[in-house]
Amino acid sequence: MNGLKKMAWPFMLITTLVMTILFISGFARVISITGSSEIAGTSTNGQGVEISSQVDKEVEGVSGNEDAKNVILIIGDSIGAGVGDERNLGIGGRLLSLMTFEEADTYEVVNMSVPGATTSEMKANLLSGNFDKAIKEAKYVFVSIGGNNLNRMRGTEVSLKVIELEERLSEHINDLEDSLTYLREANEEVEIVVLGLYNPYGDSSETEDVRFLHEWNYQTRLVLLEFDQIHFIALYDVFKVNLNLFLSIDDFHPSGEGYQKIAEYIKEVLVSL
Amino acid sequence: MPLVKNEVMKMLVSRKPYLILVLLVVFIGLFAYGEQYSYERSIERLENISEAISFNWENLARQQIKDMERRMTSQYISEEGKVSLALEIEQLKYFIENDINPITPSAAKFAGRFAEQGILLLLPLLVIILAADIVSGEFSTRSIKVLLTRAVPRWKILLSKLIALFIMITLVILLSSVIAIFISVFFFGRFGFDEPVITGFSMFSGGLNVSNVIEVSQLEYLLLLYSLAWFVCLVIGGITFMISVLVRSTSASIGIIMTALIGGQFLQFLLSDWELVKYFFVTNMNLPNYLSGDFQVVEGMSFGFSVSVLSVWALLSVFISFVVFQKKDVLV
Amino acid sequence: MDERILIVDQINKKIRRKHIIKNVSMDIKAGEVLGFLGPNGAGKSTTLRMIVGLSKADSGSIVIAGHDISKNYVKAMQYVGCMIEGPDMYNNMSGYKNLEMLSVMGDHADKEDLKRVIELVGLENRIHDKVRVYSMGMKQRLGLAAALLHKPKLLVLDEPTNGLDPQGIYEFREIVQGLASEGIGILISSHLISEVQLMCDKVSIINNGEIIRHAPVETLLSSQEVVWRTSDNLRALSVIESLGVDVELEQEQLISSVDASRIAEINRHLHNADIDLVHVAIKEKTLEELFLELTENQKIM
Repeated sequence: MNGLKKMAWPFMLITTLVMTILFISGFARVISITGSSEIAGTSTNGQGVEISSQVDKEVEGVSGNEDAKNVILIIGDSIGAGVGDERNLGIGGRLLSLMTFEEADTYEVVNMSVPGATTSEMKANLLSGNFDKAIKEAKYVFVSIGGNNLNRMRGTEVSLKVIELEERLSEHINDLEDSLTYLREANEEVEIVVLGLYNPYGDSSETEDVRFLHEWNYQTRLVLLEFDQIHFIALYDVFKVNLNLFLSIDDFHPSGEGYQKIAEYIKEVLVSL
Repeated sequence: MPLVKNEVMKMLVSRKPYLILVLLVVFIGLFAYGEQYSYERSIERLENISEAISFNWENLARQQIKDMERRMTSQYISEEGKVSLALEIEQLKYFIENDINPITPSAAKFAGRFAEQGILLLLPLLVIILAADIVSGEFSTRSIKVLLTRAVPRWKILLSKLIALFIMITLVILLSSVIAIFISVFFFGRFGFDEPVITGFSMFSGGLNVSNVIEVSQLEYLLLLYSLAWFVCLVIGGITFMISVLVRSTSASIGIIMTALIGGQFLQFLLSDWELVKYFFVTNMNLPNYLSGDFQVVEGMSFGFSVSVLSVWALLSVFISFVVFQKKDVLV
Repeated sequence: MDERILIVDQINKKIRRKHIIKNVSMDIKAGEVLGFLGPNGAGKSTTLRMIVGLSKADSGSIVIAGHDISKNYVKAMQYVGCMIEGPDMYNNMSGYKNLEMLSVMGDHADKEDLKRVIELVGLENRIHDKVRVYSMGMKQRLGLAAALLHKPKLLVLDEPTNGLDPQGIYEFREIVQGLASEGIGILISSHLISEVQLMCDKVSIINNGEIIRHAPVETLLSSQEVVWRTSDNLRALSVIESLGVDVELEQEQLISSVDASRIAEINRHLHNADIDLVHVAIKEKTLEELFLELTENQKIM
């Protein structure tokens, strides 16, 4: 027992020394991670990252050749990205599937949607300049945005909620306006389709919430009045008919059927022009 | 220095280590149980929603991979964005290959979460228990007289206390991580050290900055997090040490530092309005946030900034301690 | 070589503008025991604390075994062992552990030294018990042992016999005298004047921060008093005064510090003046009386 006690002190010292070295190195690593402005792939602690280059050709309808194509640009949030579609086609894929093979072949779908994006994030993405080439070459632009603006709201106190909703709405309006202006200035002829918000909660929603949803869509439409060559799709009405069929298993995003419906409506709108 | 050994012995002999041990075990146990409970509820909920179709995370994961791969082929995404996407794909592939639902808790994940949460209040509390009476305790039991009437200069005595505190804090952090891992393994059954973690995200107004994103294993990630916790605790230890020297009363010391910690949490809310708040040490304690990008960081604050602020506070505290201790008349 | 172990020269201290220690000086030679007396609040403890480095003097110097404490702290403190206002050790540890911890501070004391001091103070049987369970007397012994661990040349003890029973006090005196005979200079502050009288060679009396008397014990005690009680004290008073002797009449007693050899002469004169003697006696003044007398009309500041 005494022998153990005698060991205790040197043991503590050594352990402390070892841990100190470990912690200092860990700390240094954090500094390098947060401080480095190098591209991750070229830093010395890379983990042998492989950039996967699999492309699912059937899904996209994108051919390998680099002839000038008609670009369909999709921007916005997860619905733009096609989340929830069991066959991963999304709006773009399904729209192409409504055309003939030859026609579909002349299109390329470019998707800069970011799941979870808010209107302001979409605007930042647009204005970053990374997509200017696609914008200039686009024939159609589909915009799905606004659903995420209403997340992350603080507090549920009714009076505060009303104020905050108003704030979010006016932010959305401004950002949407700026985004559309940017698009229009970059490309005078592109046709723009803006998707309205639908109600994923169906009959279980509070009246207040539904009213606000309509307000949101209404204000969005008002913004569109300022522009030419622009269409609004009232998804609220489209989905209300058969919510169960059009929602995916997560009860939030559209299902494959839902995306198919959206694509059909878009085709109607574009063809009519 | 054998003086240091004396000081460490004094700390061990008091009831403090037991208290710390008990606190750790209790909190970690509760926390782990809570995690397990909420995880099981999430699974239940998801399964309920899908009704006939049983919830299959794997499909969802594959879907996400396809989606990301598609985005990567576009010419319009930046290099950095591509790399970040590639990493996320790698991560998801790992989960699929090893048949692990990404949201399944593991010991490693839990220990990490514990460090992230604990760094703000629980771990500093443990440090305060160690540090608060390190000097003031000697005054209240008057054993300081015996200590200072030796042929040893005062600064050496204070230094030995400081080093002893350093040792104890390091060991406590080690102990915390070990307890966290082993208790949670008991609940979750998996260590999960090899799981990939992607870190290096940061938020700035407008969105996620992915230029520094890299992939590490859970084990590495744990090391990173606990290193940060270690650093923060050392700083808190230094400040408490100074308070102990200045105030000479253990209860007052504890009161002061706890007020600072808790008050600081409230000050966080004023962060965007009041410039000075960002120089307070408490608002800079959430270092793991710089790795995970969980919430927005105020203009002008960065990892480097926070580390500097904390370091200055610590160094200043130690300096003041030495100056005051050297001059003080011992009247007990 | 100056054989004085301790030289305190004109030290002063102010606390919050109050001048509480004024030009205090004293010295101790090797093997000397100096008693430090004073009423409560006179400044004993403050002075002692300055000597052992717990406080700092504003001016003046304190030199221990040739080293100035403010310039050469470590060297000076090597020669000092002390117990100030109580032997406050670490309660959660055994007496032995306490001593062991102290032994590694400063000049290393080894296991032999530990054994030596433990035996000296008589704590062999209880040394491994936790200090928490010690009686007051045992704690004092432990404190003394701690003070003696590094073989000091100067021993400073503040109220060392606090809480000791008569047996303990006796033993303590023996130890102190033994140490003195080994050549250690000892500074004891106590309010047990009788003890100081028995233990000390010299005495310093402090009041209101100033040393009011500093002399060997014998000198102070050699003041004797002669006491007369007569049939007519008033007349006796004038008779004695006419002989040129200082005398006071206090409550039916004539008291004078005249030399004993003149008693016969004074008695004769009284007899010639038809004054009957009721009582005449020589009283040795105790230190206590001297002390009270000296500090009598001086209020504590």
